[in-house]
Amino acid sequence: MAAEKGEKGAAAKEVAGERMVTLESSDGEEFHMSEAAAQLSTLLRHVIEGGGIDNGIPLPKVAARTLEKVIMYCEKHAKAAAKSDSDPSAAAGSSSDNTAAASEDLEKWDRKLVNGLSQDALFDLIVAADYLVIDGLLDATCRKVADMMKGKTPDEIRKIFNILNDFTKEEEEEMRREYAWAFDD
Amino acid sequence: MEGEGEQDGCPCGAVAADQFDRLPDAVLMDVFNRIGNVKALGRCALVSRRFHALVPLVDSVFVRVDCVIPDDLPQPPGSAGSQQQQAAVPPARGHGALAQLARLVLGGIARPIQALVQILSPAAAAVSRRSAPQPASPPAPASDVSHHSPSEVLRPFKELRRLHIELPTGELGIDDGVLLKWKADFGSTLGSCVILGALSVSSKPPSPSTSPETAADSSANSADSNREPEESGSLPESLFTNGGLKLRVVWTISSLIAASARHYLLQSIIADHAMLGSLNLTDSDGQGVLTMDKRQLQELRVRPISASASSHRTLMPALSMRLYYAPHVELPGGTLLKGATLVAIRPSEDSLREGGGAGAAGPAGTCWISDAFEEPYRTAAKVLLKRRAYCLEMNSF
Repeated sequence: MAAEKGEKGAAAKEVAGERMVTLESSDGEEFHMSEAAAQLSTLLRHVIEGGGIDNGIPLPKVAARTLEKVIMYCEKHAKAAAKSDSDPSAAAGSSSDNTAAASEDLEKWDRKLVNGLSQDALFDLIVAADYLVIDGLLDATCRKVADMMKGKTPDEIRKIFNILNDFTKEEEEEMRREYAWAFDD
Repeated sequence: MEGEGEQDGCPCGAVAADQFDRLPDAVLMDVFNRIGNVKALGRCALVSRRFHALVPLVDSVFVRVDCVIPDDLPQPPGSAGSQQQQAAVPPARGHGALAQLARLVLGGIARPIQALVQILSPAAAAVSRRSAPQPASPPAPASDVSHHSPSEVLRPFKELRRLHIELPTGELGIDDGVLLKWKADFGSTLGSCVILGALSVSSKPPSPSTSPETAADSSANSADSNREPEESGSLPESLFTNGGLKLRVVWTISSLIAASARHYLLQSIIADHAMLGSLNLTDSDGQGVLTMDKRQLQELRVRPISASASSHRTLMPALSMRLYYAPHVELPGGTLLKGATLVAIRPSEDSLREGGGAGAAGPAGTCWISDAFEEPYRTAAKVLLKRRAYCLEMNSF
């Protein structure tokens, strides 16, 4: 798989106009992504600007399966941004309809991406998005976790995420009073 | 301390990892800041010590109010919400047309919101409206209904920067089919208000057999199709004789009263939250939107509200208004507004200060008017702005 990617990467490097960067996951796999996509990560952007991309960028905090998703996200959003930039129909009205539809599609794509993840993968992706400073991805993933918490009791939330209840009985009662309004139904 | 039941972990017996252990506090805050709903946040606060410490630090909260109680009434459980509030109608002072109008207006406000605003669970709210004893479910402590004001609910959130409160309904009881929407912004007093109203809203079916100008419509050209054969924009004579103008003034005063009552309610919340930079008070009917931005919130902290005597609302300063009317306005999507009216209101002092007087658009332009509403009403406002402006002045009230 890595070898395949490597070949594909080598071929991609030769595609005219598309500069690529090489990334190395924590488990030693090599990945390639377009520089345009890499720009979505503030961290990578700084590394690229600093000129340190010749031998590939090691990402010790990001595992291969997560990096794959990160790249998917960045490539998708970079392409969408390029498309809307080069959209010649800049007439007021018609282009705003198009951009509204396009951004809605992109949102749907984001939701599909995060909905398809296991809980572990989701949190891996949050950690990666935070580390690489990819605002849009962090937003989409955090939103997903927030949605998972809405409408649940504290106990349900603990069960879903394996959170320890570290209150004493007395503390818990006091807090129940403090937040009584949250428990009317 | 006990763990959360038995967990399948690694053979050494450790509990499966808390997913949030991997997230730094800042990222956990990112999650909490996307929850929004204040009840959900309250529940999160009870999950663990870490959550309890962090939840109050959220920077934005959404409070959905289930029910509203008028002030001044005794509060027997089960009589919440939908009563006509005659008692709190302030006496209309003065003689003549304006006083008469004021009486007319104030009687017509179905649900003026007074000081106490209450949050109920949906189930309890349903019970209370029927004035029936609570069905056999786990008894609530003490009374049938629990009373919590938004102030109380928001108290833990000291770092709040953005607040959105949604009331269950609009305050203005209007007839079916009538459109009435307002948007107002306030500092210590009214900043500006835009009102859009129409006698009727109907879906216009696509009709190929209509006259050429309407058939040739594209949404970009709908303004042209609305130009009546009469001089563009003059108020028709009939509006003065059939009570139409009086009705528009009633709409205007009602909307301003509703807006100023909402503004008045917010004082204690604003005082409690020094970091607040943005405040929106809307209703689920989409009738009225009150906003306050950072500068305006600051202004309110420095210069407290002047209350209108004997009523729980903010005093309105002297106002300059521009009224625009069109007998028909077609919206994108085919909706037709009849008797459409747009009223743009600002304190007279502001209009004068900007040098334009009531008649001119002023250097601030008309963006604040055309951008007041979302589509499709935004288009309606733009269409109406092309009409002739009628200027009115109103005294402080």
